[in-house]
Amino acid sequence: MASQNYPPPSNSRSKTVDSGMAVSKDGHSVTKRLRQDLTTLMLSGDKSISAFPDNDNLFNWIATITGGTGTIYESQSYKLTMSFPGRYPYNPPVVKFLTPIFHPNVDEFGNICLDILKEKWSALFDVRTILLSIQSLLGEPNIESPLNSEAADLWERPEEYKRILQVKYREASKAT
Amino acid sequence: MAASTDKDDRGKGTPSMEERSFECNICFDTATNAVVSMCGHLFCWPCIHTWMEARPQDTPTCPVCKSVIDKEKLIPLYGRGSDQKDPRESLPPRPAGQREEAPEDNNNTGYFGDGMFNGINVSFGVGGFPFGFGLGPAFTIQTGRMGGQHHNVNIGHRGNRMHHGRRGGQEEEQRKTMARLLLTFAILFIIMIIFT
Ligand SMILES: [Zn+2]
Ligand SMILES: [Zn+2]
Repeated sequence: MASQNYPPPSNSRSKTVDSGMAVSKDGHSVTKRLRQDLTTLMLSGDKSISAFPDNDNLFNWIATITGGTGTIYESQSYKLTMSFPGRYPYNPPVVKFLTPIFHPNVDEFGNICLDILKEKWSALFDVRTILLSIQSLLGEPNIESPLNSEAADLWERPEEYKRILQVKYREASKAT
Repeated sequence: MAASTDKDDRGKGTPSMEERSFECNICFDTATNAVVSMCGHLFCWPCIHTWMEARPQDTPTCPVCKSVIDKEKLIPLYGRGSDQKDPRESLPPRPAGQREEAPEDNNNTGYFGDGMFNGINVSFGVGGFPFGFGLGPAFTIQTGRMGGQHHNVNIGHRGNRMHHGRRGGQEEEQRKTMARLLLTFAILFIIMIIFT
């Protein structure tokens, strides 16, 4: 599995249509799909994840994920940004943590190493399933390819991990 | 803008499970120009085509189940009245449906029922084949699709969607042409005999 320390490369082709009226060549509107995503998310009634377009720009969303019950991240909530390429859903969005998070697969800039946002991306995914995947990544990190090796090393010692996580989370919430 | 227009767009609210089962797995809308993969997943042809083109370096896989998909093995679905819509001009036509002919019944093939002409018809049918008399410039012959069970020969204009359901009709046309050709030869032969 590729552990990439840089943000996902935005496909060169996607840059040409990153404006508000992106319509892919087959006439299927990207904005229509994004509205579908929003509707699906809102109708799902899942309170632990939420997302909404930022400032009425349908291509940039702000999302919130609350750590899953029973995990070490339980009841902590984190903000993320999602920016969608003009070729969504054929290309994945760039998803980053806005709230700093102490996690083996997230670096200091909020970049996430998650296969489904890179080489395992599928056009089947939508905002809801992306957020659910990130939520489950919180509780089940991939220790093999860490972006934060300190967090990866600590993962085996839950008591200590929890202590440091809580300190860092308090700092992060104060800052934002 | 988003929240309010959304409701107007959807109108009907949450689609029922039955309606959903005909939604494209990529755009989440009711599938248009629908095709189904060998693994059974439904897509709009434009959507799955764009998905396959999006990763030219990889073997195309089904977005749902990751099974290998092949453009040639996507099966188009023709609902009643749905065939009128042409795929967008910038896209190649949907792949053709794979028709498997019932074993041919040679006794009612047409004009020259008696033994002599039947025999000639067969031998000419093979030899005269590539000429494609008057039926247009772009004949394509596709044989032996992978997997071995489709060894039928498709004859049709490239991009002409008529041959999806009407291959029998085109064979008929071919046969008529052969018949006319034979008739011409016969007449020439007779004229030759008369004038020598
Ligand atoms: Zn579609
Ligand atoms: Zn599939």
